[in-house]
Amino acid sequence: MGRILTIFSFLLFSFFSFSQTKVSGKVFNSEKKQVPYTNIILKNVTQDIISYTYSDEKGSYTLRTNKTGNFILVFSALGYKTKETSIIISKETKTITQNITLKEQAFELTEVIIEAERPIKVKKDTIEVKVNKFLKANDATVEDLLKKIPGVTVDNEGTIKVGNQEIEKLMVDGDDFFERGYKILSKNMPPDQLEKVQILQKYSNNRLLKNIEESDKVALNLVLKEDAKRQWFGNFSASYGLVSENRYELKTYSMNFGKKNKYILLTNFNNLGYDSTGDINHLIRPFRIGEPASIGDNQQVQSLLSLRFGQGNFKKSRTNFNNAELISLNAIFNPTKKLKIKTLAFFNWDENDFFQNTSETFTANNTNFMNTEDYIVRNTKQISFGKLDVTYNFSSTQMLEAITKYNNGDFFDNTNLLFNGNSTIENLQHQNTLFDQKISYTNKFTDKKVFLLTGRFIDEKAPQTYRINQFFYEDLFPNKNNINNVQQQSEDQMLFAGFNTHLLDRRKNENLFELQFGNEFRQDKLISEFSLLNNETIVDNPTDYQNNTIYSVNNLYIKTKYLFAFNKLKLIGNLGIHQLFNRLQNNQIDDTQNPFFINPSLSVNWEINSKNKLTTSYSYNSTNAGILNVYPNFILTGFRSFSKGIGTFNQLDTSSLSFNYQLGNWSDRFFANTFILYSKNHDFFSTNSIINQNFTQAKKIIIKDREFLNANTTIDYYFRWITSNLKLNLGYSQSQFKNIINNSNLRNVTSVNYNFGFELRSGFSGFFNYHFGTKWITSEIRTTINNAFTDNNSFLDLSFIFNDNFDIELQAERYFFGNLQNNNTYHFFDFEGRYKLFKNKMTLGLIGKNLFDTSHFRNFNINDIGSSTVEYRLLPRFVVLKLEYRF
Amino acid sequence: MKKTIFYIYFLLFTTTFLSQNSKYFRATYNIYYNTELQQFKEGELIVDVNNNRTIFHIKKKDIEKKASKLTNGNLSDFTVKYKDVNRFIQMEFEQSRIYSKETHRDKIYYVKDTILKIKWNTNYTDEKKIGSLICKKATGQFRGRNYEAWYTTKIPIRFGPYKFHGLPGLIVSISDYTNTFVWNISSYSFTSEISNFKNPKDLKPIISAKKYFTDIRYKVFDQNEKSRMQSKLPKGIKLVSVTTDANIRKGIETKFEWEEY
Repeated sequence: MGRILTIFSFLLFSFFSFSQTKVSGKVFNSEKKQVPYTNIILKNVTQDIISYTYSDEKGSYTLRTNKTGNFILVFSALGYKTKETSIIISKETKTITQNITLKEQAFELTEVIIEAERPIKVKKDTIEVKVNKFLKANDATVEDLLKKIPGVTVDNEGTIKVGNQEIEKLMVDGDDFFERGYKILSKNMPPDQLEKVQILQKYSNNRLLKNIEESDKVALNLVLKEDAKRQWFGNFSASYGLVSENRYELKTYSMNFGKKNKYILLTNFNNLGYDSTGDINHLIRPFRIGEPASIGDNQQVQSLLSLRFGQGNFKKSRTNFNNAELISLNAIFNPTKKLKIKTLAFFNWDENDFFQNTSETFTANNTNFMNTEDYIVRNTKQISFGKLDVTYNFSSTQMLEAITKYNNGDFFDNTNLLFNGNSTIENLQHQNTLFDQKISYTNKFTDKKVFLLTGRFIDEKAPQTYRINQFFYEDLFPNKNNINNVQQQSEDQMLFAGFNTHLLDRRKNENLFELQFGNEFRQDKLISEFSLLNNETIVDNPTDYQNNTIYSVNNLYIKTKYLFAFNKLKLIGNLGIHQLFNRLQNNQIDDTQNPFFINPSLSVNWEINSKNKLTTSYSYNSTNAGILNVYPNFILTGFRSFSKGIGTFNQLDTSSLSFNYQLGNWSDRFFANTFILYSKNHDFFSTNSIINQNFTQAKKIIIKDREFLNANTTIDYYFRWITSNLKLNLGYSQSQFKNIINNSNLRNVTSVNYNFGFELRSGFSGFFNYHFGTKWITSEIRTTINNAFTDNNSFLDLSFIFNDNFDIELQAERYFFGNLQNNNTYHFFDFEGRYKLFKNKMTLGLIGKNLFDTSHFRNFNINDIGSSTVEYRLLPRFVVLKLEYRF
Repeated sequence: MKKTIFYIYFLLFTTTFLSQNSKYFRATYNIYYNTELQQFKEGELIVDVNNNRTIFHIKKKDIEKKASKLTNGNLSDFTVKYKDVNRFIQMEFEQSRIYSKETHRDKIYYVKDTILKIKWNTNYTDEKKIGSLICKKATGQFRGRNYEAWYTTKIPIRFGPYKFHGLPGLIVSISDYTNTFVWNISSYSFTSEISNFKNPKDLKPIISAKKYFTDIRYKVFDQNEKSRMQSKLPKGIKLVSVTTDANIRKGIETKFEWEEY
């Protein structure tokens, strides 16, 4: 009963509340004509708008309201005087008819200017988001938080994007630790100590270059709470060999951030062939192309001698028998608001074993021989590195930064070599000591102009001691009978000092003008001492095998760059004017030279339309010879090779021309790109070599005219019926040079490489995808004789993504060497599976490498003096179980 | 026969109004697009009072000349300025039709749209003086964005910039809640000049708003395109997700009535 009553009263109530009063009528003018589109507003006595409407084209209007009381009805229309009438609406009123006559009123034709307030709020390049609005209790990491912030997206892999663009870096209180490797931070840092997140657009690494330098970079900054408590967080991953010999990896990242001090500790111990210095490389040498205030970045000592072998274009991890230990500690201190101190220290210890068997055939000038070298190499290194970076902000427009680096490396390289059956032991002990100090001062003296002053000083020493327990050079030193081993001691010391002033001026038309003026001084001191020994006694230091060279180059320069944009055509002009002061002191001879040269370059970018793009550039470049080109006497650069420089000054000139044409866009169904590069060395360094079975002697010589041509085309076409893309690659390169072998005339050497390959890759939306491809590479050398061969490489990748937590990848590779008689085909098979045990917390992985257990790998090379076969020993099959855990 | 009568009636009808004062109203607006590519434009609203129609011209004017940078391989960075073309939005309230000229990626489209009634909340006591105009606050929603509008009953026309309309007075200033899109009045006048309204028949080819927004402006990657992208990646690179600027709706209108179920 009660219920019925409720329902009843409810119905009644709603009936009342929906009972509306209709106010309607017509609007006329004084001539009794209807006035269309009149504005009719129903106001209460306190002038609040209750309802409003417009009359139709016939002047009729209708208003509805459910309110009662005293009201004012306001009629206004353009060209008429506004009229108000009062009406009373009671509960009982169903309809009110109110006709009205409006008096015409002339309106002024003068324009009224509204002093516009400047834009309500022009968005700044920094957007701040308060964290507490978005933070939920179960957010474990910064990544979870960022996912919720509007405009920020985080994909499955952890890539963070603002809008459509990946962020440059993820900073904490303005400090960057990982650059593009920011996932370590976003996937591990708990978000509860954060105050706000800043989205920085048009980001510049140097804050004073903002809005002057061209930048489309975006960065995120996590601002810690004032009272943020420090806590350690991070992750560790441990891998252990399952069905193979002792294989392991242990990797940890620990971080601790406070408002004033921040610490990051990284450790890595592994013997899986993984080079973990790659993880911190960006901290040691931040690599920034064309960034202002870079001076001396490419100045370093080049070693004469190395017993660390590379393996061409083959995966290094397959041959790297390592045992690496790395510890890195990173800290940032902010003692005051204006001062920031960053420190980095790391210690790396690594032991690598490497196994290589080479057989080399020499055929030139009626000399034929074959050498075999069976190498067992052990490289040990111990590196300590420290970096101190102090930034002081004087004001909002001035900044001073000082970076000090110190590096100490100790290297021991031992080989156990079987040379043509002779057991030989090489022993190379070397150090590298580096001290590097850079100071840069930035002053943004107007809104659009910045001035940078940078100074740098580098002192690097690389002494080497090399011993061979055999004497292979009887033919060179015929009158020495009792020699049974040799030794070379050398030291290359480099001193660099330079300053650079750089002005960046963003012009009114938005084009950027840059001017640089600077002076760079580099001095190299190269001392080498080659000795013939009988056991431990030095018998002789042959005169033509000793060097004591001091080479100094002072480069005074002015460089300018201007970008001129005209609609779809862009011209970029560069001009470098250099005045050099060279001084060469060889033993007792002192010589100077003051060359002057101009390096111009011009490039044109032409976007013909959205499908056709053309880029072409021309440059003319003069380069001054380096220390390794000017020393006068022989230096041992391997157990059977000597080489020497030219002994005098020289500059080399090169012209190069490049051309790139792009048809379509990368993501179109059809896409083609062609690149052609032609360069001509008007003069270049070549060699005059004496080649014997036991030794070679190469002298640098200068020859005119060397040419290089490279052309590449790729064509992409997507086949809808198989949901796959076919990619064709065509490449051709040809180089011509000249050299002298065993007192021959100048030999013309032409080297031609061409390759053809195709790949097919699927774009299935399901759990399975494939990618396979093959490539034929033909190399040809033409001297007096022709030598050519064709290799083939193929691969097949399969990927299975079963769900968000479980995926597997399989990779197979096949290598075929056309010139090997037997054992010319190699197969590899690797797999990796991942299973997320607890989301964001723990992941299990299974990694298998070299599952076919291929023990050796041989490849074949040709050059202008013969051919060689190199065989590497490979890391045997292993399967490791990997556990990743976040703490 | 019916048609003839209609035409006669129509002619008669129009003549009656022309005999009256032909009334036009003109207002200019400063337009700020605080988007990634910041833009400043000028708009001109012409109201043809007698024919109950408006045209809103958006003029090329990019005082701040912001530029976005494209990186082309390793060659160099260069500046791209998007070409801006005069646009217009013509609203015919009798037919409830909007005819507009839209530009997207350097292409011009003529679009036919329907006038949607905007549900305004005028229940605010806030008042603000903009220039000499006393304005009242209203809030409303239009195609995916929330707006705060300031209108004046002193100018009794229900129009405003862009596609905004329906308040009991001219919209003097309007911006969305994020302040990304802002229209501010800069001048107004009454005029008897006849402005250049477009004849919808001249706008060729014309496409529907639905087609424009779904197939052109906010084109979503379908599986076919996603597959194509994925299949073009180099070895070892995985496709995680495909997004374009089109996929993220950054324009003024972001949600559409035809997408509602």
